[in-house]
Amino acid sequence: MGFFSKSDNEGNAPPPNKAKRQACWDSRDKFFACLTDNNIDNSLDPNQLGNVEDKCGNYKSEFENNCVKTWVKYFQEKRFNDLTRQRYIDKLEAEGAQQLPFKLDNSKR
Amino acid sequence: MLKISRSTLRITRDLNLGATCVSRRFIGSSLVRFNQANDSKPSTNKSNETSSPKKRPLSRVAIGGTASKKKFVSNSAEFASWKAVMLLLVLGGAASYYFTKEKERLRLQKDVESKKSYGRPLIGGPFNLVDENGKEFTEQDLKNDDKRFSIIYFGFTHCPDVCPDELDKLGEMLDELKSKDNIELLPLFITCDPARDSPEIVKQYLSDFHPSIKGLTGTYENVKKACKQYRVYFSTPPDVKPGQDYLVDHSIFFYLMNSEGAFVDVIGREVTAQEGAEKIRKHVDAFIPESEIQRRKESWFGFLYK
Repeated sequence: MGFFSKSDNEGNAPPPNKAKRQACWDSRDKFFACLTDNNIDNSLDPNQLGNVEDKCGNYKSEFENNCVKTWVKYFQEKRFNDLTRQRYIDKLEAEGAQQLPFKLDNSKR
Repeated sequence: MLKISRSTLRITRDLNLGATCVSRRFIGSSLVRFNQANDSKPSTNKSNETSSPKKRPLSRVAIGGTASKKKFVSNSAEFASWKAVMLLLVLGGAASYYFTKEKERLRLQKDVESKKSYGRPLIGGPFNLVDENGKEFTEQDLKNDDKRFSIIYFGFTHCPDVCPDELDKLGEMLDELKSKDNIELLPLFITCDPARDSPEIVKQYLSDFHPSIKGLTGTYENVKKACKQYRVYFSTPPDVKPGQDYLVDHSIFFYLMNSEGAFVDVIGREVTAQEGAEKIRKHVDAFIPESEIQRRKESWFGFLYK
């Protein structure tokens, strides 16, 4: 029904099932690997968009086809946040900061 | 051998003589005691004295009378020594073993008690939701008599990565507890997104995960209330148009509740499936029903539990 029909479908659609989730995560991982290879940190940065399209355009469109819109945005934001956080931790550790006596997440570090 | 039997005989003889002898026994030498014994009971030895010389070596003097009497006397003396010692060792050993065990158990239970006293009022409480089949589900359904704990997770079906990961982890924990320790839990998934997560959607979503996980949803008010009871924060974007896709921000914890519906512990995202299962196992092992705690406090051992 006209202009809103696409978003209507998306919102009322049942949540992605296991197979769809897996497909989304796989194409996400490929896209992010490409970004890392090309030293792109923030794929949502307007200044970087051209660069992203140039280098990883195919991966990006596949990623966007396999994941719902909100996830596409969420994963890219998350990647940039995680990268920033990890660099900050590395910097602190290089300066001799002490590790916390407990874990904050279940990463292998 | 001879020496031992003589001394034991002497002791029994002293006992037979009664109180008058007891006081002298400590000061007198053995000879004095022997004379004393003879003096006080001359009639029993009279027949012996007439047929044998008056002075004989001490070793050959018959003190205890007939042979049969001797045997009886030596038996009772032996009981007084080795049987008593054995009895003491056995009883003492058993008692000390029991008290050591009991002390350790009390320590563990006290530990759990002290945790309860600050955890209990904070998390959990009445809620009124519906399960994935549309049946009513309240906090009363967490209570049971077969020590079945519940583990509660808050999430939403459109969740991109954290919820599926955590629900997979929950499945691993459930499998490990079931196969290793035969512990069965009641796993619950409560949605924070009641606007989109109808019972049917929740049911379909959970079919990808461990089959024992139940899904709860309800009206926005009821879900909000349930989340508040568990101190779960969640927020939907403020300007969502009907039908628009969105993500829900929410806290991610597993809440472990005991079979009386009371809060026990949280398991966070940083914990692996093995660590989580270990934590649950310990809590299930240490669980004592409230009525049992009450009964113990009122019993005459009550001071031990305070």
